[in-house]
Amino acid sequence: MITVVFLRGNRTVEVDAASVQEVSSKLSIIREQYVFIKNGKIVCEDEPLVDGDRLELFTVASGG
Amino acid sequence: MKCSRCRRDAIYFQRQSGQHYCGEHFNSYFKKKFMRVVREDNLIKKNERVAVAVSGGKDSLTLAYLLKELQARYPFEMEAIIVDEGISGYRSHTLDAAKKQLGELGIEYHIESFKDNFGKTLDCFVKNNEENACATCGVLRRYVLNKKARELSCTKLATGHNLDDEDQSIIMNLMRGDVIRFSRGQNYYKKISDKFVERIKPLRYFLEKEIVIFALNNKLTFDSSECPYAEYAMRGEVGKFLDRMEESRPTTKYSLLSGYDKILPALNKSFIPESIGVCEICGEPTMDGTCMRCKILEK
Repeated sequence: MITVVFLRGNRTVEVDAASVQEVSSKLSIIREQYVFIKNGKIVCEDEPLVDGDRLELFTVASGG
Repeated sequence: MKCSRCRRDAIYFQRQSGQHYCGEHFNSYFKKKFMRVVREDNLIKKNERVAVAVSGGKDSLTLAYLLKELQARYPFEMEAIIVDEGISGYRSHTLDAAKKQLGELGIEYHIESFKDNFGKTLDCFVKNNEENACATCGVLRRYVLNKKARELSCTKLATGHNLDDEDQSIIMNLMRGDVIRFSRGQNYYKKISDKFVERIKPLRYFLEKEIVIFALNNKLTFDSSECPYAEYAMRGEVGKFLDRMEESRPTTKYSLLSGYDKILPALNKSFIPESIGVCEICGEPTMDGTCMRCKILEK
């Protein structure tokens, strides 16, 4: 299981996925709208994930 | 995933080029592109005085950071202007981020508030009329920035508008049928009146997502919250549409801006007058008898 944390709003969900793309697909999110941070490091959208990884989603749009 | 240039872990996959970038090579790509834009678009002249508009978000603070680096290689003067619109629960922490990062960069800054300039905060201006917040804020903020930049004898006003902002404005102006705004482009203010400080947007060719990655990668202090009035704005909806298009059809955002820039000279010629009048109340440039700022203040 991957722990997915939406940093804006501080919402956490558990997802069974093997890559960032798969997380995005399962949660129906638009990848353009997030920067992905795996275990504290910025990663690409095609980054593989393994059981126990923590994936933080940093929302791109901000301000007005 | 590994960087296409070295074997370090990649932090960004650029879909239009098919390149993976590690932190170091992403920085290198980003800074080279920034320098190229400033040089090729001739944005800053030698020894010119530049005012940089800073909100405390990632765009304006990335811009301030890059301009500061440019200053080490190219002689020009720079001061920052921070506008405090008076938005409770939001502006105070964005101001803190702006002050902290500008302090670290050693950039002198000036804080201009709506309260001091107009007698009340944005919250007061738009009470029970929140859907007009962005329009009101935009008019008043542009006025304050221009006035302060002029007072500081700056000949350029640099803003952190990114590619997403530019694309959203193109679509929004079209959807509103606002042909004048659609036809202005970035040289409009320079052309139309010498009372406007010329605006430059050095980040207008950078995706918003790339700017976030740059700011995080360089550990800049910035505020990442959303303005409480953003929920009333059309911009957010248009932004989501463009994000979906970019995801399914990479380079959409670049193509939109590039196509727009190509037709802009023709639009300019057709819809933008050579000069405009001045407001009968304040004497600032306007297309109508009374400028938008004075109309807002009269309400």
